[in-house]
Formats: sequence, structure tokens, C-alpha cells
Amino acid sequence: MTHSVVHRVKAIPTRTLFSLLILLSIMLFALSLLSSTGAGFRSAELEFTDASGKGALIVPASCASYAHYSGECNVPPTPNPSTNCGIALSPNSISAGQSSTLGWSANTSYGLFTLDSAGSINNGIGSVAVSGTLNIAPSVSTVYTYSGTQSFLGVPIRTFSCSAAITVSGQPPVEEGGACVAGYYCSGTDLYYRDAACTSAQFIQNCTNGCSSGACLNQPAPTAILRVVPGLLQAGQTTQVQWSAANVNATTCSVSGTNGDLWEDAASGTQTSTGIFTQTVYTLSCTGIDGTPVSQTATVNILPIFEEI
Amino acid sequence: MHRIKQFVFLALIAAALALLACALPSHVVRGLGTIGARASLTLLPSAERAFGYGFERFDARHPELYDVDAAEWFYERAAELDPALPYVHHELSRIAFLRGDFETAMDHINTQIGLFGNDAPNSFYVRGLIEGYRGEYEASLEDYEYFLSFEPNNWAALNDYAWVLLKAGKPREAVVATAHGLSLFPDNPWLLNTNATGLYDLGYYGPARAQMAKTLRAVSGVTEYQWLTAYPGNDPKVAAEGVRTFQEAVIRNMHTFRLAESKDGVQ
Repeated sequence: MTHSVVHRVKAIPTRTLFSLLILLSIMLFALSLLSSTGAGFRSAELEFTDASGKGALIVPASCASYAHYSGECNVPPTPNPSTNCGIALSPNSISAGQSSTLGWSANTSYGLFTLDSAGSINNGIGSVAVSGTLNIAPSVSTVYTYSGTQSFLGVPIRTFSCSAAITVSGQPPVEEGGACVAGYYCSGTDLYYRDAACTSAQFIQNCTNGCSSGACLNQPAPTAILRVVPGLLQAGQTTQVQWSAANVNATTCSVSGTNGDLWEDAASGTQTSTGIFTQTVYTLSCTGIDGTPVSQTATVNILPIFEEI
Repeated sequence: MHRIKQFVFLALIAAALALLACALPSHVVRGLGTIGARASLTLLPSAERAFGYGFERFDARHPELYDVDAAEWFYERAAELDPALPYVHHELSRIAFLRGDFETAMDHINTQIGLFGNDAPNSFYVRGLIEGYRGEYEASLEDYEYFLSFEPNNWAALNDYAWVLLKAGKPREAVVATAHGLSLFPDNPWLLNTNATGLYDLGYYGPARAQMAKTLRAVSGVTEYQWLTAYPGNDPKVAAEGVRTFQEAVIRNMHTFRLAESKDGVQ
């Protein structure tokens, strides 16, 4: 076998081997030129905005179009774990004051070679080795992300990023029989998301209006009351303008009169008008904490003057 | 001795080629990988493997592999091998949509829905998106409403539903839809922008301006990764530009709303 291989090798002149090497180099160089990075694929979505009825710009998204979509748009966007690294917390749910062990590692294999890896972990940990463990004791629910770049002979080859979450003062509920279903759950007024293995829970947000059955309770609709006291007066007199709005953003509230009176940035109040000489309409307008507007009006009328003939 | 030199010489050539391959830019490695994948499909045709090759080249979360042309080629091969393969027409529809070929995109998504219907609810979402881009707002509303019956808390669907409501002249409904989304995602800049636009179209210039100010703060923190999650299938190389386009739209809206509010005050 060896003799026949040697015999075939001997038949290839050195000049031919040199030519083959040069030809391969030219082919690779040409491939490099043909497969240029370019400026990137510019999709129809890239610069698309659409004008509303009054000319404002609307920006649609397409998050849920991803194939095998599994709820990515039901949670705020988070970094996606890479197959080139791993990070885990043990345990991943603690009470305030307790600690956990954070472990991480990066895959540096690249075919037959090993890549140089430079990574770091957020939340004040900083640069870390390719793999390791660390004791951590966060005071609030936290997502730890291990990320970095891997290179070969100084040439960047790929990046990696993976995350793990730890919940503080929150526990994923365990179903009967130990089964676990992926979904949202409440812990006090905090909303969390757990995965199907019940090994990872992610803090989503604090619910301003309470949390129930795995969802934040909707913010109540705004309400408003506006009165003018008195509502009928002689020309030149003043009136008391009283208003009160609930479930609103106070900075969006304003009370304005057709006589030029204006009071802003207060959800409730009592103000004395300027002198009123003609029928005057006061308007209270606010934006609710649920985003919807609310408004009320009140009218001040002038007593007619009767002159004896 | 000469034979030994020949063997050593060949070994050196092989080692040099291996080093050269590893030092190549990523796009060249990607190209070589695609060539290898195509070759393996030619030797051993498989619709599932073709779909897999296409899938990994159409995922912005693997930027080193992203190649929409190659992804389309692999998905077309998968469709040839198995026209009833789940999601293959969904993916071809997305690619056609991103290319701006809405007619082809509609053909593929209608094939997908015809084959799989409710098994893939987000196909209705994709169809709603295509119809919205084509200006077919009533049809788009139907598809978004249908998808939202499966995913009522999907922020992108709520945002896009509100977009089409605004285009259909229903700003009040748009405000309500985005307000529901904001109750779950209060800092989502897409929802904030669309909600503010609804308020503006209703004539509530003060509240619209206040909401747009909040949008401006939220959009300043949008990362390229978040943009690629909001627009899956797009090229990672253009993500920075996509974020800038979004931010510039919000800034322009802010100027428009301030102007309207000041004019309204003068009146």
C-alpha cells in the first residue's frame, strides 16, 4: 500500500505541486473578492415608516414573523443564548441576603483549533476567564450576561453571548406532581416569567396596579370633575374654578378658559378666575395613566342688566 | 530521501491550506460553508436538512452565517423536495416580503395558511404585515385581529394592529390597542410612538407631545440586538441604520407635535 502510494507521489513533479499551490491561492483570493462583505441586505422594512391621518410617522415592527416563533414578543427583547457559551446560576432563586453560585464557560473549539477567547460579565463583574465560578448575592432580581469575542491568530472569528436570570424574593410556583408549564406568574406585585423546566425565572416588571393570574392588572380609566362656583354672576365678577381628575398623569392636565385663564400641571385644584364679562367656558383636559384622554367643561354665564326705561 | 521530501512537501501544502482557510474573513468561510452544504444536499437530498440550512442563514442571531440569498436557495430546494414541509412557504414569504416582492410574498403565505392554518398562527400575522404594506388595511385588520386572538399580549402585533387602525381612520381604537400593550410594556418605544400618534390624530396635542417625549427617551436606548428581535430576518449589518431610522422618525414626530401644540395654543 505504502509502496503504491509512494510510487504515485513520485510521479508528481515538484513543479506541478508548486503550480497547484499557486492555483489554489488564486482561487481562494478570487473567492474572497467575489464573496465580499458588501453593505448588507437592505430590506423593505429598513427605512419604512407610514404617515398617519395627520402626517405623523408610524413605525410598524415584525417581531412575531420569526419561524417557530415561541413568544419572543410577549416579553421585552433580551439577549439570546449562544451555542458558543453557557452560564448558569445555582440556585437561580434566592431570598434577599442569600447568595448563589454563578458559573460560566465558553466553547473555544473551532474545527481542529482552539480560539483565543476574551469575555466579560455585566453587573460589575467585568473581564473573566474562559470558564469559572463566582459567588454572588444580588439584592434585586438580575440578569447576568456573559459575552465576548473569540479570535484566531488575532483575527476575530465570532462573538458569543448568553444570559441567566436570578430572582430575589420570588419563587416559581411548582405545579402539582412537579410538572411545570412555561408562562407568567405573580409574586406580590411583581410579574415574572418562568421557563418550562422551572429552572429559570425572569423578572419582567413591577405592576403599578397589582398583579393577578400572571398578568399586570390594567390601569383604570381616567375620570374628571370640573365646577365653577358660582356659575352665574354679574359682569366683572370672578368665580371659583374647581377641578379634580383621577388616574391621570398630572403633568398632562390643564384647565383653560375662553377668557384666557390657564392653569397647568395639576390633577386637582381650586383657582379664582379673572374678571368675567361675557359667557366663559372652562375646559379641563388630562391624559390618563392608561393613555386615554379625559376632558370636562363648565360654563359661567353673565346676569343680564335691566335698565328702566 | 526524495520520497520523504515529497511527503513533507505535501504535508506542508495541506497545513498551509488549513491555516489559510482559518484565517479567511468570515464571509469567505460562510461562502465555503454554503458550498459544502449545497454539495451535501446534492449527494443526499433532504427537505428537512435543506430547511435547516436555510433557517441558520436567515437568523440575525447568527450573524456569521446570515445570507438571505443562500437562505432562499435552500428554502426553495426544501419546497421542491417537500412542498408540504411546515413553515417552508412561511419563510419564502418572509424573504419575498423583505425583498419588497409583496405579490410573491402573498402567494407563499396563502399557500402556508392553506396548508397549515391555525397550526402556525403567526402566518396570519405575516399576512397582515404584507397586506398593510400593500395598503389593504381592512384585510390586514382581520388578520391582525385573528392573530391577537392567539397572542393578545404580543407587543408587535398590538403595535402593527394600531398602525393599520390609524391608516383605516380609527385613531381611537389605535390608542386603546396600544394602551393595552403599554400596560404590559410601558417603555416599549414602538408602542409609545404609535400611541402618541393616535393621540395626535385625535387632536390631543398636549398629551401626544408628552407621550412622544417619553418615546424619545425610550428609543434612545434601543440596541441593535433589540432592533433585530423586532425585525427578524433582517441583515445584522444594517441594524445600526435601522435603529437610526426609528430614532429619526421619533425626533421628527416630536417636532411635528410641538408645532401643532403651539399653534393650537395660539388659536
